[in-house]
Order: sequence, then C-alpha cells, then structure tokens
Amino acid sequence: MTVHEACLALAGNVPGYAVIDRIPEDTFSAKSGPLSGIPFAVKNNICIKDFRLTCGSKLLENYISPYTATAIKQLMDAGAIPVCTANLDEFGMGSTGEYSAFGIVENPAAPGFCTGGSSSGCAALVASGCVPLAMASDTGGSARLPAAHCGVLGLKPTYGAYSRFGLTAYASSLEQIGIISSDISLMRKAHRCLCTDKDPLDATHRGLPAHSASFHFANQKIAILTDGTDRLDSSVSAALLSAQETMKHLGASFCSCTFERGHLISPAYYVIACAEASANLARFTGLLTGSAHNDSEYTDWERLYSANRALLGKEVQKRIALGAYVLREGAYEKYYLRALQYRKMLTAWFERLFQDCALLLLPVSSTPAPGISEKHADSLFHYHEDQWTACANLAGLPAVSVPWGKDSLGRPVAIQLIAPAEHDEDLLDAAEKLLEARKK
Amino acid sequence: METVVGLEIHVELKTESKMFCACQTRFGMPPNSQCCPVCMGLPGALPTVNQKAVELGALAGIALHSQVQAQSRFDRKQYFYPDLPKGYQITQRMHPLCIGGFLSLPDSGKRIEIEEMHLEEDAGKITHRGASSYVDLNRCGLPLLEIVTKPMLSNGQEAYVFLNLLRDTLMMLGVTTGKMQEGALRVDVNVSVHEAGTPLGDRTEMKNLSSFKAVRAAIDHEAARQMKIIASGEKIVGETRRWDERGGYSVSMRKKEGEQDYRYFPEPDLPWLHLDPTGLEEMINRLPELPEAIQLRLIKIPGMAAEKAIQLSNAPALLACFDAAVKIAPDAKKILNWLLGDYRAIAKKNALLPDCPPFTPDQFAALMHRVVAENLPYKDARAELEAISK
Repeated sequence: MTVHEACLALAGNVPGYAVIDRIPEDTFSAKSGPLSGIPFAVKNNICIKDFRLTCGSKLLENYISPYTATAIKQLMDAGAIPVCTANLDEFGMGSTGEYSAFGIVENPAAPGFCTGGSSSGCAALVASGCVPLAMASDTGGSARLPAAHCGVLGLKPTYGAYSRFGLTAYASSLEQIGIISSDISLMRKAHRCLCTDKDPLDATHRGLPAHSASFHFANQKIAILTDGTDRLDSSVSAALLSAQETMKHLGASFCSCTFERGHLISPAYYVIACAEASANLARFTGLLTGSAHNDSEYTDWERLYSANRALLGKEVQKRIALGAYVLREGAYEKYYLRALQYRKMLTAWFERLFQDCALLLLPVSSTPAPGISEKHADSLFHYHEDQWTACANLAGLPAVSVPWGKDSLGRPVAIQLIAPAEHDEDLLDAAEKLLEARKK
Repeated sequence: METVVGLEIHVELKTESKMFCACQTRFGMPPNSQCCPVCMGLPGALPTVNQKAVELGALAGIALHSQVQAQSRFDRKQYFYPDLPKGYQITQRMHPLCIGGFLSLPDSGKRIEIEEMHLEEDAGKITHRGASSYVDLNRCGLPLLEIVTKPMLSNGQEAYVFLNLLRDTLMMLGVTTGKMQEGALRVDVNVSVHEAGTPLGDRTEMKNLSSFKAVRAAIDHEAARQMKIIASGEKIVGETRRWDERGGYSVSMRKKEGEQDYRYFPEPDLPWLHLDPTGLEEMINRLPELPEAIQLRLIKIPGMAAEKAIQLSNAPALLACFDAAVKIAPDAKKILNWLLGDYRAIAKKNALLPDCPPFTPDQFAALMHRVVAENLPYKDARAELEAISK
C-alpha cells in the first residue's frame, strides 16, 4: 500500500464529513524537494485544477476550478502530494465545523464535540493521523481555532507572507492561507516553501525576509494578556499558566497587558470582514460557475441570480447582508470607517507592545471545543469569541495555536502566541522550544 | 437662458494587456476568446495593476495640465449586472490618478477645466438575439481612463471643438486609438439650462452618442428642449436620455430619483498605487509639442484662422513646412493658401498624401520666400510647387 492509498484509507475512517473529494494518486507527478512524499489535505476554498471547489457551499457544488492556487503549486514543487480536499464552514464563515452544506465535521480528538471552524476538515484530517499537513485558511482564526479544538498546530502567517492567488476570497485584507500540522518541524518546512518567491499574481504578496538568528526564550520578555481572563474555562487558564511556567524555565520574563478597547475587536473584525465578503461573494450568481438552476427556466437574470443565491447558507446570507448594510451611504462613516480606525489603533497597540516584548501569550478560545449542536442560539457569543484570534488578523500579525494538554473531558486545550510582523520564524522557534520543553 | 454642459469621457487605453490581468486587448475577436480567471472573476483570482495603463493615464494627465497624484488608490463599485462578472467594477473613486487640469479651446482661448481623471476597468458586452441574451467578456477588464470635465461648456459646438482637441492630443501621445466605432472613446453629456447669475438648473444625462457630431447635435437639441419646457412653466426632470442619431431626437431611458447606491469601498486586493516623480519628470521632458500648444501658438499669427490652426496641429509634416516658411516669408495667409489649398489640390490630382507632402520644409520655405518677397507670379509658383511635389 502506498502512502497515498494509506491516507485515503484512513480518510475513510474519519468520522463525519471531513473529505470533499479524493485526489487519485496518479493525478500529479511527484517531485522531489524539502517536502518529498509528504501527503497533505487542501481546504476546499483553495483551487486545484480540474477538481471541485465547493467552498462548502451548495451553490458551488459542481464547480470545477480551471487552475491551481500558487500556494498549492509551491507545496507540490517542494515534493508534497495533495491527497484530498477538505470540508469547511461555508466560504470560511463559521467557527464550529457545522456550517458546511455537505455535512458536519466531527472532532476525532474529542468525539461528540465540534472541530471548530472554519478549517474543520483540515483539522479533523490532521488530528486523525490521516495526513500530517493541511493547507487551511485563516480570516479571523479559521486555521488556529479548529487546530486548537482538535489538538494540533495551527499557523496564520504575517499578512502578505503567502500568496492568496487561488484562495477563494472571504475578507481579502484579513486572510491568509494557514497551515495545520501535527508536527512543528514539518509546519516550518511548509512555511518556508510558501513565503519565499514573490507571486506576480497577488499584489498584496510580499513574502518574508530571510530568517537570521533563531529565537530563544532566555532574556526575552513575554506579554501575558490579562483581558477577559475571568471568562476563561479553568482548563484554558491552567494551560496558559503552565505554558508561562515552561517559558519561565527557559529563561523568559513577563509583563501583563490588556488590549486597548478590546471590546471593539470583534465588532471591528465583523464590520470589515462582512463588508469585504459582501463584495467578494457578489460573483457567486451561478452564471459562470454553474448551478442547480437551469438558465432557461428564467426569463430574466435578476430572478436567476436570486434563485441561485438563495442556495447560500443562512450564515453566509447574514454576513453578506451585514456587509452590504455597513457600506451603504450614510452607514459607511458610522461603521466601516470607524472599524478601520479601530484597526489602526489596535495595530499601533501591538507595535508599542512589541517594542518591549517578543511575543504575546493568549488563549485561542475561552473554552475547549463545544458540543455539536450545543449552542447556537446566541451567534453573538461565537462572534465575540473571535476576538482572541481576530486581533492578529486585524493587525496582520503572525500567530500560532499550540496544543497544550487536555481537559477533564478529554478535550484538547491550546495556547496561542502572536509575534511582531514578519517574525514568523521566531514564532515557530518559540512554539518548537515550548513543545520540546513540555515533553521533558 | 444659458446652456451648461459637462462631459464624462471614457477613453480606452492603448495597451497590449488588460487593466488587471494578462489577457490581450485586440478588437473583434471571437466572443469570450480573450478572458481568464481574473477578468472572469472566478473564485480565487486576484487583480494586478497594468503599469502601462498607469503610465498612459499619467501621460494624459500631464498633457491635460492635470495634477498627477504620487499616490492613488482603487475602489470597488458594486452592482449586479451580467456583464460584470465580479459583481463590482474596480475603479478610482476616493483617490483618482489625476486631479484638476484643463484644455484651452483654440478659437476663444476658453479653458475647459477637468474635474478629475481616473483609471478603471471596462465591463463585458451583452447582445440580445431573439429570446436569449449572450455575454461576451472580451471587453471585460479593458483599461479605461475616465475624464470628467467641470460643467463649463456652453453649447454643442464648444463640446465638439473640445472633444476633437482632446482626441487629437491623446492620439498623438499614443494613449488611445481614439476609434469611436470600436468604443475606444465614449462620451456621456450632462446638460442643464439656467438664467445667468442663478444656480445651475436640474440636469439630464445623454447616452448613446456615437460621434462628436452626434454629441454636438444632442447637446443643442437637449438645451432647446429644456428651454421650451421651462418657457411653458414646467420643470426639468432629472433623467438619463438616449440619443437617436438618425431621428435627431432623444427619449427618456430612466429617471434619476432613487439613484443606485454603489457601496464604494477601498479595493483590498490592491495596495496604494505609487508613482515615481522622476519617472513623471522624464515623461514631461519627452513630451512632443501637443495640439493645444500648437493651436494656441498658431492662432497668434496674424492671418491665421482657428480652423486652419486645428488642421495644422494634426498634420506634423504640414506644420513643419508652415513653420519653416513663415520664418522667411511672413505672410501666413498666403502660405496657408499654398499649403492647404494648392498643395492639397495637387495631391488630390496626383494621388499624394494630403498631410504628408513629398517636398522638404526648406524646399517649400524657399518657394514661399520667392512668392512673398520676390512676387513670383502665381503661374510660375504653381508650376514649381507641382515640380517639387513629384
């Protein structure tokens, strides 16, 4: 049995709907490089030529992409082999893994609990041991949160570090392709393949400067976020304390900090994300991507568009409506411009923080994975939860979620580190050193 | 009553590739043969700016005395229509490439001021055949420069002269092919009437103008229509009207009230557009003498009519002959008679190019010197002109 066959066999055992499509072994010729022979899964909002790009949506159920994303090409050029496309919360909108039109993704590390979202399939496939690596995306925590809930690593790089060409846009100014992996050194190898060459097809892609010295905790000051700690589950507080203890052993010192007007993180994030989404998703009318509705059933395009766009899930429709609302004449200044102002303020806050401190330690979420269909009467609760991760997207900073034990119910618990812009390698060094020290 | 006219001109920039992707820009290709994931707005595709288009836009800005901005930015203009696959057009709304500017009309010297000039992408084309509609995306994403004038033209003739000067200028610089029949230059006009010294009247917008002559006729017709309405004690309704060129009348397309909200916001896929000031400086230094400057220079010469100045400004070879001759034979009227009258007659008879004579400026100047200073008889001079025209 080849590695490819083994992965696909394992994928069959993953509970829930983690896989969208399997990629036959002979599809791509294997190359050799730093990732030779490494199988990986691809979130199904990232293009692979001749494969379906559903984005977890009924509207794109039968759409096949005519081209491959730059990031996927880079990984394949380095020798990695895509084995399947992975389910996700529709268009990346959702933080539980329950918002795909194709079914709920289940958490292999904590049966009966959510995977987290939106990169639910990627996290489940990595956590189940089916693949060691997955290409996810992270708009407000979509790679880090499911990684945390499933007990694996999740990375969002500095904004502009990886090419977005071929990543279906949800909120262009916030999102990056992210990496979910079970192995920190593999994550680093994949990261290096993705941040080197500048992609002429993405005007916001800059790559990262070459990495110089490696990061050590000795004599470094680490900022500890004390905001909202009263709302944290005791398992999360314990994990943060334990990680701090480990850093102390490695020679770090600490200072505490609170976000500047932290209650505005989630509102600002949702205003910007939804505004951009309302425009980014306007292209999904079924006209060019095909749809369940037959064109000839309709005598005018407006009805055809409406019928097709009614196939979008409720959460997606809600965010599009919200985005259209905040960009209306009159609302623009009140919501959109103020969100941009807060974004600037938060970015400046991080800059000041990192003048003194090397890293920020904070939770990925207030609690470990919630139960499937447990909530969700209050979607505002989930929106608010995004502040822990969305702060890094608003400021364009690299952030990693690192698994840090389990709670009494056996659910994975994680911590999060945020580094200054372009210090992605420091972040990976820090995560690696913490994990090593924890093992001892 | 006075007529007040403002123009919105869409100029298709003469580039090899589209505004935000590498697709070709040739006219008349089979439908949907020149499009890619970017201009089709397929998921995951991103725009990148065509630097040649930026350069041509800046060049136009310099030629029109506009302030070319060191930093400009793109915005998204959102609306649904089948010829717009992304559901938004990438344009420049808040920070356009060029601000201000003007062109002076040759006859009156009147400055027609430019509000702003910005880059944007064209939409696709829809054709209706029977009960079906067909979308062709070849035009989608072609680079456009939109030029918006201030409302300060007074009649159809002024607009006609302005537009000709603008087209000649942009064509001389290679900014556009200027071919109206291919849609490379499209003009919308805004017309209102008012009593001098009172606020501007309610305006109407006129579309479907296929030539500058149509623009002239449509403006004068619309102004007369509005004056008649006001004279009868009624009010002008803000609306968009469609000009019927064959019939010489316009019909209402849609009312303006409840105008669409385009929900503009900054295009997050494109960073600020930075222009290098030294590059601009070089562009200015390389600029040839432009039609506006030529016309303003020529019009000062005694005996020069505006119409002749316009003719010369668009025929560099004739202009060189005129410039050489007038230096040593200072009688503009006579020179123009020989150059635009006699030579063109000879050219017509012998199938020569009317704007590109076979003689050199020096040959022509020498002949003119003998005509003006030495009173060479007409018959001899004509024979000599025919001789050097062989």
